[in-house]
Parts: sequence; C-alpha cells; structure tokens
Amino acid sequence: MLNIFILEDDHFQQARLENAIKNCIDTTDVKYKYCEVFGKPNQLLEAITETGNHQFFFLDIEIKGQEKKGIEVAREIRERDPNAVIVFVTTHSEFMPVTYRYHVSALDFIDKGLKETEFQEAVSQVLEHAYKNIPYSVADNSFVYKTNHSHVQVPFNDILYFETSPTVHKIILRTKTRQMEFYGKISDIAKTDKRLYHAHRACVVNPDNITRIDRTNHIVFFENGDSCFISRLKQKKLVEIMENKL
Amino acid sequence: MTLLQTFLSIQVILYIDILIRLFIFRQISGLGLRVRLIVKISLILWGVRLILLRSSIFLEPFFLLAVIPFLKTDWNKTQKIFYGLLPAVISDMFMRVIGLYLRFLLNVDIVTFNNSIFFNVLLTLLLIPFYHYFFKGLGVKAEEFEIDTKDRMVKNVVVAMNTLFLTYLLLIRGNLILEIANERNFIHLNWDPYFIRTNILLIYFVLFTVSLLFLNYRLKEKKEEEIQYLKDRQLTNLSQYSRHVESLYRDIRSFRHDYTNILVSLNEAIKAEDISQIKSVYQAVIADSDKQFYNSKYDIAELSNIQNDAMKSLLSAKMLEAQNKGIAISVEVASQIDTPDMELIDFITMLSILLDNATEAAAEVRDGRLGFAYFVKEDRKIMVIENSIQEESVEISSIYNYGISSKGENRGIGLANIKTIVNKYPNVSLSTNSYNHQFIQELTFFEGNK
Repeated sequence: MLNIFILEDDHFQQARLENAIKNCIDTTDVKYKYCEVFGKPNQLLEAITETGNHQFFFLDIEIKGQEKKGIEVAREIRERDPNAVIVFVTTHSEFMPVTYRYHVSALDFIDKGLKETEFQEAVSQVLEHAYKNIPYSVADNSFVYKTNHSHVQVPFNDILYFETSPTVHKIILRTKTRQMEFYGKISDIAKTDKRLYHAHRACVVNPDNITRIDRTNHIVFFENGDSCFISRLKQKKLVEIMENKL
Repeated sequence: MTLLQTFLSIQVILYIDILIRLFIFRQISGLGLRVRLIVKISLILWGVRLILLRSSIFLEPFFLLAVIPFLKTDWNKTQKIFYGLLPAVISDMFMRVIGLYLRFLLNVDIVTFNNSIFFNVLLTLLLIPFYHYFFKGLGVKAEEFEIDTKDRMVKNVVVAMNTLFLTYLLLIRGNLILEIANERNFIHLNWDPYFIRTNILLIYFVLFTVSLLFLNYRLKEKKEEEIQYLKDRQLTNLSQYSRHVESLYRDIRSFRHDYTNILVSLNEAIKAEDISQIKSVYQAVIADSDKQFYNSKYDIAELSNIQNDAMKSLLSAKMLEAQNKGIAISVEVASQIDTPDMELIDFITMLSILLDNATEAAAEVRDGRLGFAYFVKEDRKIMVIENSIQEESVEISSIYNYGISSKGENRGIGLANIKTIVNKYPNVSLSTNSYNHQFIQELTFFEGNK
C-alpha cells in the first residue's frame, strides 16, 4: 500500500490533486495507507517515517515564501531513500525531465495546466505504475567508481563487463543497454566490488550476467552476444562461482 | 674490449635507437601507444634486426612501415608513409648531422669515430635533445603535428616530403652498402662514398628543414582559417539567435497587450456581477492562453543560461534547424552554466557532431524528438543529448568503428572524431545508451580535481 505525500501551498491546487488521487483510488485497484498534504517543505520532511518504493511524493517545484524549493526537498528525500517515487506537479515552464531524472531520479512531471480529464489520467497513471511496482523492490544496487578523473554510477545488475580501452588509461564499461568509456584502472575496478570477477588481465566481468563459458577456447559470453577472454588460471574459479549461483 | 663486449654494446645502442624512434613516432603520430606496447614492438624490431644482420642496414629504416598496419589508425596511404618514415629520417639525419658537428668540434677522423663505442653512445643520447630543440627552434609542435590530407596543399607537401624521405633513405643507405662493398673489395669505387654521403646529408637536411617549416606554416594557417570560419559561423548563429529571441519577445508583448484588454473586460463583468459573462470571458480567452507558450520554440530561451556565446549560438542554430525539420525539441539548462574544462574548439566540434547525428536520426522518425540537457551535478557537468530512433535500439559496439555506420559513412566518422577528442581528456567520459526507441549520448565532465 502506498504512502502518499503532497507538497503544495495553494489550497485550490491541493484540493484538485487530492480529488484526482481519490478518483484514482475509487476507479483503479490502487490502495493507500496514508495520504497527507503539506504546505511547507519542512513539515513534509519531518513526517516521513518509512523508506521504500511504496513512499510516493507529489512535489510542487515553486513554493511561495519558502527558501527550500521542491527540488531541494526531492534531493533530501532521495538522500534518505533511494527507492521513493518522486513526481513533480508543476507548471509547464518548469519542466526539466532529463535534468531531474539525473538529479533525483524523478519518475515523471505532471503539468498543472492540463485539462481535468488529462490531469486525472496523468495522476492515475503514475500512481498505478508505482503501486504495481511495490512487490519488485530492489535494494540500492548501484555500482560506484570514483577517482580523481571520473565518477561512474550504474545499477550493478546491468553491468556485463569492464575492459581496457585501446586508449591509454581508459576503460570501457558495457552494460545491458549502454557503453561507457572513462578514465580508470581495471585492477581498481575489480577491487571496488566483491561481486565482480577479474577474469583476464584486460577484463573484469559480472558473473551474474554471463550466459555461457566456452571452456576450450577460454571465452565468456554475455546476453547481448558480446564476449571476452578469460585466462586459463581463472576459468575454474569463475565456473565454480557460476555453479554456486545456480 | 672483447669482440663479444663490442657486439653487446652495439646491440644495446641499436636497441636504444629503435626505442627513441618509437617514442618520436608516438609523439608525432598522436597515437596514445602504451609504453608496454612500445617496448614489445622495439624488442621485435630489435630481434628482426639481429637476424637480418648486415642487410638490415638497408631495410631497417622501413621497419615502422611494416608495424603501422598492426596499429589501429584511420590513416590513408600518404599518412602511413609519412608517419612511418619520419622517425627513421629524423633519427638517421639528425644523428649524422650531430656526428658531423662532433667530429668537426673534437677533430676526430671518421674511422675512429665510427669504431668508438663512446661516440656511438653519445650520438644516440644527443639525438633526444637535438630533436627536441630542433623542433622547438623551428616552432613546430610535434604533439600537434596532425597532417590532414584533405587539404590539397598539405597533401602535396606531404607527398613531396614522402618522396624526400624515401630518396634520402635509399641514397644514404645505398651509399653505405656501396662503401662496405668497397672496403671489402667486392667492387672498386673511384670516388669517396663518405664525401658523397655528407653532401647528400647536407642537401637533404636543408630540404627537410624547409619543407617541415612550410608544412608547419600551412597547418597553422589552416587551423586559423578553421577558427575564423567557426567565428564567422558563430556570429551568424548568434544574430539568428537574437532575431529568434526578439520574435519571442514580440509574442509576449502582444500577449501582454491582449491580457490587459481581457482584464479590463473581466473587471467590467465582475463590476456588473455577471457570472455568465465572467465565465465566457474566461473560457474564450484565458483558459488556454498559456498554451501558446507551450510551443517548444520558447525552449530556446533556456539557452540564455549558457554563458559561452559560441556554445549558445551553436545550440540555438542546431535546435532551430531541427525544429524546422519538424522535430519536437526540448532544451533544459536549469541554471547559469559555462563550457566544461576543455579546449573550446574540441568541445564545439563534439557538440556539433552529436547534435547533427541526433537531428539526422530523429528526422527519420515520425514525431521525432530531440532533447538537450546540460547541468551541474555535484562535482561534474553533465550533457545529455537524446533522440528518437526508428529501431528499438542501436547496436552500440558497431557504431564507433571508423567509417562504419548504420547511417552512412559520415556519421561513423563523426563518432570516431568524438572518440578521438574524448580520449584527449582524462576527465571526460562518454556514455552511449540505446533502448526503447531512444538513442542517448551522455558526456560527463569531471571537474572535482580542480
């Protein structure tokens, strides 16, 4: 069940949003345990007692007479709770979906200027999405690598492998959907996270995402068809790691 | 000294010579070869030289030509020959010039000089400072010696220099072989090979210096032309941007004018307490009045947060161009922000390629979208360029290969250029992501170590 927090200083807007939420509860199978409206950012932050992906926040960006804007509130929520769902309800001119996705992993933006039915639809959509996702809670699973020259942060489960780049001192990271090249050392990467395996001088792999090992030719394969070499000495241990997982 | 000792010390000198050449090659070619790889190559070349023994005198200057095909380069034939021969010519020519000078200075005759291990070591070691100060004295920056054969003049000079290198090496080394044959009485020469060699050396040294200077001058001039062209473009873009902003301002002014009128009639209706008229005025004009500002052309106004004019003008030009092609654009620049910590020309080139690629891909999709976002997060600046694509996702490992591209040749070359630029900066990382009919390029400029 969702815990819904609303940050909105305008009474009319508060009522409108509350109405939309109520309508959504009535017409869909979304359920909530708690729903509260706050006019001041600090009150909202003080009221948070739980963490998790059932914590749902509707935030207005511009709050009259308040130093702390919606975005700072979002940042504080995110610091405490990596899984909370954040949706900004704001005027169109304040839309910054990409920027806020990077800053606080905001799920969506809802435009206050939408007509009633569209507004209702947008609110229902995000609530339903969040409600359906509650059972799929994942622990904070980021892989973070930080040096003097780079700062890499990706979900660990997406990582396929790291390999040395043809460019000196650079490393290529391959995940399920992306490829990233950054400054770093392959041996440091292997040390950063115990779940990774240093399979070859030039390659560190995520055993979780290996689909197959060609034991005669010493090659490991990943789900996207990519492959990398594994040194003879390290193959046995990797096979063991993978068998233990099964 | 025993024969073995002499042999060994000569081998060490030869090895150092190969090593120096490879490092010169690394510097001039701009290829970021790892030291480990250089050591490997040098050992192989040294081994080959050992096996070939005497005949290597003739073949050895051309060794690098055989190495280059194994390296990852995007050079054409002319560039390969140039980069492959230049280190050998530099090392051979400079060592001979230094030797000539040393002999003159210390008054040593050629036979003693050639047979002395001490002089050979000295010669090899002096090569490094001589090379360094020779280039410095001519004002040639070896690290920036990128020869672009697309320029006809540059190409002609490079071809001429290649011919120069080839004839020089053939003449000098051929002359050496004749000398050896003469000494062993295989043939009988009635002229002094050493005298001829010295003349060849001096003539070619002058020719080499002159052509190097000219090439350097032309490369610099070309760079300046490019910068001038960019500046001109920037000016055009900037004035286009200001015209666009002016038109937005006119829109807002006319809206303000309408707005005053509406408020007056509303006020009248309120005074008369005529609810139905209030309703009709609201419905007719105010309800959707801010919708006209939803148009993405107003997004361009976000660019005012960008402090650098070159970047601002390029972005506005590219975004307006995309919009004219019917692409829905969005621009997010949340707060005042400047260009990242890198050469402006590199950054602008990169930005321009990324936006061109994104526009090209988005134009092929119905209801194509192009999004640009640039912001600061903690200790880094992040730039995100997103566009919609026809396919579900793009195979990322394939698009960075030189010349290969799903969208024709140019795009591949563009991306290869981006890689080359990114590789120059350790604090810049490039991430390419593609899923759900989207293609996302994300550049992170790490500025935490300032």
